[in-house]
Amino acid sequence: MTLHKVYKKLRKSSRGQYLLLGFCIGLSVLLLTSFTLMYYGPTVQDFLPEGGDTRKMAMLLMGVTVVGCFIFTVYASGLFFRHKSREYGVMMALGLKKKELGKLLFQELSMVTAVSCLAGLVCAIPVSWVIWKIFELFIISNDQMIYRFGLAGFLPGILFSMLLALALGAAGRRFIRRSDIMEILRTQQKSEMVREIPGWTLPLGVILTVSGVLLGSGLPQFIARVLYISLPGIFNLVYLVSVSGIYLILLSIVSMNRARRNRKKYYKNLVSISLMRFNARAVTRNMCVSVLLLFVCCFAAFYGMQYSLAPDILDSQEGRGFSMHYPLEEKQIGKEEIGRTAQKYGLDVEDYSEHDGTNLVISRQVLDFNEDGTRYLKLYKEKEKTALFVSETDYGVLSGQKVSVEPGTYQTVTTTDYREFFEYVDGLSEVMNPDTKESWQLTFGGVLECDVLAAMSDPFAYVLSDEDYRKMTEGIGSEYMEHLVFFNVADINNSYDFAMDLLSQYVDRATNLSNHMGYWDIWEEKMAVQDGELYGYGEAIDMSMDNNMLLGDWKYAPAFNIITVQDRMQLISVYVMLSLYICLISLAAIGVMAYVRSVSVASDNRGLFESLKKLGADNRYQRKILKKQLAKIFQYPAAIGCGLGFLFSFAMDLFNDGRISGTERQALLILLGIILMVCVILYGVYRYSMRKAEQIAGI
Amino acid sequence: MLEVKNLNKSYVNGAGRYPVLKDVSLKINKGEFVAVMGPSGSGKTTLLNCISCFIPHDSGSVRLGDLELSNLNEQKLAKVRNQKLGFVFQDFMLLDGLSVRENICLPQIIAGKPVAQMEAKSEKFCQMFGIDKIMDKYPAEISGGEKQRTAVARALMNNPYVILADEPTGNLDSKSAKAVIDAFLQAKRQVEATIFMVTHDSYAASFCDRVIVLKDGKIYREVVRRGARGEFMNELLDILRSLGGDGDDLA
Repeated sequence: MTLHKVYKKLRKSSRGQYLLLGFCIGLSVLLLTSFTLMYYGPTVQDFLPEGGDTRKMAMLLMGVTVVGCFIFTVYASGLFFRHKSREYGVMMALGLKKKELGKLLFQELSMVTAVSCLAGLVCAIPVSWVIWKIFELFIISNDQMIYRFGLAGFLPGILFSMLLALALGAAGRRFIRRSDIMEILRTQQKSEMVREIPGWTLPLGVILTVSGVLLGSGLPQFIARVLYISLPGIFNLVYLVSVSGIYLILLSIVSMNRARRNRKKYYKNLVSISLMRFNARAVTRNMCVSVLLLFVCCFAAFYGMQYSLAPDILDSQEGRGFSMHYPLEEKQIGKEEIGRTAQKYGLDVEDYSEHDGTNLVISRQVLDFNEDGTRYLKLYKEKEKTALFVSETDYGVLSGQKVSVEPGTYQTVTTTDYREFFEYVDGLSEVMNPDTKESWQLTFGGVLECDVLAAMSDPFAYVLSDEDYRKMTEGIGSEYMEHLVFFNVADINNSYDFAMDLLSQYVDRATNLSNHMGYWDIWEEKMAVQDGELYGYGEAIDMSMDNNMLLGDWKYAPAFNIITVQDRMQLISVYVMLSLYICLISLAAIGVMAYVRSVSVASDNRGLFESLKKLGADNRYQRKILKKQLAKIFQYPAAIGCGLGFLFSFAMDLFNDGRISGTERQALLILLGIILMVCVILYGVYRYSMRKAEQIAGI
Repeated sequence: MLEVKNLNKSYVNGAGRYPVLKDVSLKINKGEFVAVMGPSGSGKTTLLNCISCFIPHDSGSVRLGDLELSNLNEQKLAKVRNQKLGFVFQDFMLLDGLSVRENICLPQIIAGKPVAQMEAKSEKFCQMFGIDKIMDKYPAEISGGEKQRTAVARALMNNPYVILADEPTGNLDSKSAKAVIDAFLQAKRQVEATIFMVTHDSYAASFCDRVIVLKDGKIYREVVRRGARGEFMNELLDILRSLGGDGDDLA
C-alpha cells in the first residue's frame, strides 16, 4: 500500500463528491459554451444588428448567467472541500505535510476541472445543435435558418473554464492554508451565528425591493417627460436598492422566528428555524443568487416573448403589400415589368397606383439632448432637412383613404398607433421650396396612419391640400422628387419568390442616383457641402443582393412585406431563441444550486436527525423538518424571483410609453404561464432533492 | 519523555481575553500511562491541543524528548506528528473510504515505509487488540469499540514517543470503553507505549499510573496510583467531588 493507492481509494470512496463537482463544472461550461457557439455562429450574428438592443440585452443576460454559473460551481466546490476536510484533517494529524496535501488537492482539482471543462466544451456542440433543432420545431420556420456554430463561440467557454480553474484553485489554496488542523477537523460542525434580526427587516426589504424596480424603470421616463432631464446611466445603480431589499427579505425569512406573536407556531417550527439560523448567511447568499437567476430566467423569457408577439403585418388591412420610392430620374421597374414578373409566378397584381411625391425643406420643433446629454431640450430646427410631401388626392389614391386637407394646414402621416417621445407629430410649422427658396407657414391639421408612406420619410411624410401642394412644389427640380409605387398581389402569402425576383430587378436597375444610406438627406448634404463640413451620411453603399443589410440601410429600399416578414421571422426566431436559451441556462443553474443546497442541508445535519431519532422523533417528524428546510430553499426564491421578474417586466412596459398595449398584455399573460412552468420544474427538482436528502439524512 | 513548562494559553473573544491554561508544568516519563481530569472548562483539551501543537500557546515550552516543539515550523511539526506522536480522537477520525488495515497503515504510508513492514506491523497490532477478524472491513461496518481500537493501533504504528488521546472512551459504552483501555494497557506493557489521556471518565482514569487534575487552567492535584485500582478510583472520585464538578464530571 502506497500513499498513491490510499489517495486512489479515498477518491473511489468519495466518487459521488468528485462526480458532483465535475458535473457542476461541466454543466456550467456546457451551458455557457453551447449558448456562445450558437450566439457567435454566423446564422445568429448575420441577423442581429450591430450595437442593437438585443445584442446588448443578450450580453447583459449572458453576463448574469455567467455569474450564476460561476457561483453555483464555486458553491459546489465548497461542498467538495467540506467533504474533504475530514480526510485532510486526519492526514495532517497523522503527520502529512500541508504542502503534500496541497499538491494532491491541486492535482485532483486540476484533473476534475480539466476533464469536466473539456467534456463541457465538447458536449456543447451536440447540445447546442439539439437545442437549436428543438427550437426549430416550434419557432424557426425558415430554410435559411440552418444551424451553424461559430468557432469563436468556444473562446468564451475556454475563458470561462480558465476562470473557473483559477477560482477553484484559489478556493483550494484557501482551504489548504486554513490556520490549523483543529479548524479543519471541526469544519463539519462549524456554524455561524447571526445577530438578532429586527422586526422591521421584512417590511423594509419589501419596500426597498419594490422601490428599486419602480424607481429604476419609472423614474428616468417620468423625469424625462416632466422635467426634460435625462438621467445618466449610473442611475441604473438604483436597482441595487432592490438587490439589498431581496437580501433583507431573505435574511428575515431565514433567521426570524419570534415567540411573541404565535408561540404555538414558534415551537412547532423551532427545530427547522434553528437549523437555518446557524447557516443563515450562507443560506441567504445562496437564496439571493437563486432569486437573481430566476429573475433573469423570467425576464429573458418575457423579452423573447415580446418579439414573437409583434403584430403580423401580412394580416394588416391597411396599405399595400408592396411599395417602392425612388428618385424621379431613376429608370426603375414600372407597372409593365411588375405585371410580367407576377405572371411568371402565377400572381395577379392588384390595386396598382403610382404618383410623385416631393421633398420640401421643413422647419419644426423637436425634442433633443443638450450637448452633455443630461437634459432634454425643446428645439426649433429651422430649414434643417427635407421631408416627403404628397397632395391630398395622390394620398387618397396611394393609400386608399379619402382625406380632405384644409389649405394652410398639413396632416402628418405616421405609422399605426404611433407614440414616440422625441418627434412631435404637430411640430412642423414652415416649409420651403429648396429651389425657389420660397417659404410658407403651415398649421397642424391632424394625423393620418399609413405605414408604408410613413416609412419612406423621416421624421414623417406629410399631406397637403392639392392647391398648397401645387403652389409649394412649383419650380422645384426633379432631384427633390420621388416616384412612389404601391400595389398588392392576390395571394400575398405565396409571393416570396416573386418579391425576391422583383427586388433583384429593382437592385439591378438602381444607379448612383439611388445609392444613398438610410439616413441620407439631400438638403443636409447640400448645407454641409456649402459650409465646408463633412457630411456623415454621404457615403455610398453596396447595392447588391449579396448585402444582407441592404434593406435595412438603403434610403430607397423597396418595402415588400413578404420579404420583411420572412426577415423578421428569422430575426424573431433568433431573438426568441437567445432569450429562451438564457432562460434555460438560468433554470438549469437554479436547479443545480437548489439541489446541491438540499444535499448539503441533509449531509450537514445528519447528526441532528440522529439526535432527533434518539429523542423519539419518528420518521414522519424528521421528514417534516427536512421538508420545511428544502421547501424554503425552493419556495421563497421562486416566489420572490418570479414575482420580481413579473413586476420588472410590467413596470418596463408600463413606463416605456405610459400604457400596456395588447401585445404587452398578451406577453405578460404568457409570462405568468412561463412562471407557472418554472414553478412546476422547480417542484420536480424539489421532489428529487427531497428523496436524495432523505436518503442522506437516513430517514 | 514529554515535558511541559509554564504553559500559558488564553482565548481572545472580542475585547476580552480569557486565560485557559495558567503556568501549567508537568512531566511524563517513558512507559507511563497518565490521565488528565478536571471539570468542564478546566483546560484539559486545550492542554492536549497545545502539546500536539494543533493550536499555538502563548508562552512556555513543550519538550518531546530532546525536541522543543514550540518553535517548529509546519513542515517539522508534520514530521513530529507522524514519527513522534500518536493520536486517538474521541470520534475516532478513521477514514471511511479505507479498510481497518489501511487505516492502521496510514502513518507508515505517509512516512513512506516499506509495505511488508507496515503490513506485518498492522497485523501484529490487530492481533494484539483483537481486531484481526475485521481487518478488511470498513469503519461503517464495525462497532465503536472496534473503531477506537483501530485508532489506537494506528496511533502506535510509528512507535511514537507519546500517544495523545482525547476522551478516547467518550463515545463508547462501558464494555467498549474497557476494551479500549485494555488496548492502551497492552500497548504500555508490550511496546512500552507512553500514553497521555484526557478524560472525564474516572473509571478509565483509574487504570492509569498517574492522574493530573486540572482546575481553572491550573494543576489542582496530581495523584499517583499506589494500590489497587478500586481504591485509586475512589480517591479520584473524592478529589473530583471536592472540586464541585457536576455528575458528568464524576462519571
